[in-house]
Amino acid sequence: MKKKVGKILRKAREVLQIEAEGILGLIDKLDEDFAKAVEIILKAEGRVIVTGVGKSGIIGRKIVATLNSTGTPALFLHPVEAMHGDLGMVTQKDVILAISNSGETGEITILIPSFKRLKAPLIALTGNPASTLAKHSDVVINTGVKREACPLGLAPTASTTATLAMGDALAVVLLEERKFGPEDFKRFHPGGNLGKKLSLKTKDVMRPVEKLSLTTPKAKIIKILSLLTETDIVWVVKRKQLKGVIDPQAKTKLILEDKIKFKTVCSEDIMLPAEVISADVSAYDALELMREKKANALGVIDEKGHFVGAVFLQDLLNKASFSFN
Amino acid sequence: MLLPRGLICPLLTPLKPNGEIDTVGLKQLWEYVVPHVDGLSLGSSFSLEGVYLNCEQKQALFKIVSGFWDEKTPLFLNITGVDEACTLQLAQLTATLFASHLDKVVIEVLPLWYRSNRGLPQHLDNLHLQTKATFVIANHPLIIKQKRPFLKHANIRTAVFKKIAQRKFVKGIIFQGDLNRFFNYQHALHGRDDFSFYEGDEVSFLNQPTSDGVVAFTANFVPVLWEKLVKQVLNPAGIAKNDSTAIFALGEKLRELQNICASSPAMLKWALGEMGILKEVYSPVPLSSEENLKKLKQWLSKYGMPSNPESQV
Repeated sequence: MKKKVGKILRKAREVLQIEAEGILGLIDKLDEDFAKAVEIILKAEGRVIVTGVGKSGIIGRKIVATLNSTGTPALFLHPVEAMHGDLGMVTQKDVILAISNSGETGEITILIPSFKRLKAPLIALTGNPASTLAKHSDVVINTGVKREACPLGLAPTASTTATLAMGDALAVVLLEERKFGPEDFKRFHPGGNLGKKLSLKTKDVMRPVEKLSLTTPKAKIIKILSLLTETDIVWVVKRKQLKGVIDPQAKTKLILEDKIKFKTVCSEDIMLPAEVISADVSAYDALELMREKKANALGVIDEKGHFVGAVFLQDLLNKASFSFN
Repeated sequence: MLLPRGLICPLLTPLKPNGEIDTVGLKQLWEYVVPHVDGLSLGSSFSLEGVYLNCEQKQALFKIVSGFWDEKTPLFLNITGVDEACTLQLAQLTATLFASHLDKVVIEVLPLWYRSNRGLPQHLDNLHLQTKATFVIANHPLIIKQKRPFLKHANIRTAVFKKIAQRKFVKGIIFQGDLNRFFNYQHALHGRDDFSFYEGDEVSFLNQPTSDGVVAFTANFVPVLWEKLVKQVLNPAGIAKNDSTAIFALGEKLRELQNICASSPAMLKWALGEMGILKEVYSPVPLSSEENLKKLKQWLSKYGMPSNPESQV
């Protein structure tokens, strides 16, 4: 059994190494053509039409997904469907990205004359720069690998991994060139984890007013002493308007007074101005404001200016990590 | 010059018992193999007998082939001799014989057969000076170990290979060896996008195919099967779902044949003789064993003679 496990692991390691070396090998293959492909896509007014069949088709669909989510409009064109009418979706303004490791895939090469007629630039992602596809392409990105990991190459392995990695390289370079930022990413990822981190609204993370410690501006300190000792922050509110905040800093100031007149001093005498933020502003912006004002909490107001809750730094950090900053 | 991609057959050299080249047999074998391959290698170490041919035999072989070569099939000429002087002599001869076609022939050399790693890049420079042709080097530790079992470096050392790869006239390697060495060589190829890796070990090609092709010794006997397999392997998108089982079976068939014949070219010559392609089946390397011959006969009765069209499927 031990021997069998060893054999299994050795084989698995070999496969991973072959695939890793396949990707590493691409570093040397990168040339001006890659930069040219980026330029063509950046200049294109249309979309990137990705096409491929079999495993290359599957890789193509993933490249489409990556391009779309990183700000490059793309769509997948199945070569067979293309021959039966879908070619109509390609316009002169688009760029075609054709994927074929051998560069001789019949379903792809048969489309070349149609692509040429449409006058859309053709970029080939192929492992064979001497192939028919490569010869008829405006730009050739070489994704060739020296060795496949699967016996008899029945299932393309290292070559598809390399194509996938090259697609990612293309998408990321385009992203950089387009100055694609976190806000753009958020627009394309409302449901994803990354988007979620940024798309939370302040009202989603705030503590509602009912759960906060409140007082009025005219309340005598002696009356709210117990409240002050129980909670860190007491919010001073009058007619739903936030007037100020008694935070640990204000409390310290009170203690340091020479003669403390608990019976005569009111909340409004010791409170500090409160920083507020709208309930509809993103949690990300709330965090930014906290950072800027060096505050641990912000009052949240609605569109009428009513105090509806407060957002705390601690809650924000628990909700999401803001790695984009 | 772009090197061919796909199936390269290290052609066996039909010999008469007195050591002369059997010209008729050579032509017949050539005609049998050529339609199915992407390139031919003459006097190759991967035919398992090429390095055992002496200088005169190789000279005669090159002369005969230069007489009927149609220039359509890319030709690898293995100039490896018993020593450096013989190799140099063969280099000069090829330069003369193929003077007007040097853009269509490739010089193949297995330098560790007659010298060490020391000064190897300079030695190749010298050979290139004689021929001005494209070079492919061979790394074949198994056959080197046969000749010099106690040699420390039966492989081209990676550091040496790195220097060789910087020479633009060297456009490829026929590689036999372990996977780690393959990766090391690949790392040494910085910026050489035009460099081809041919697999010199049929079993390795069947297990983990290289993308530039294979130098398949058994293609002398079953070129149609190898042609079919290599085409499918190098173009996996073309494999229909139903065909994968057939290709797997084809791979197993070739693996079995390779296991039987791996130790001696005489086995294949015997089989070619049975098929009627070779009249003379003499080989400088004797039959490996009677047991292997028995296995080859069993293989033939199981799958049929390659000349039978049904057995090629």
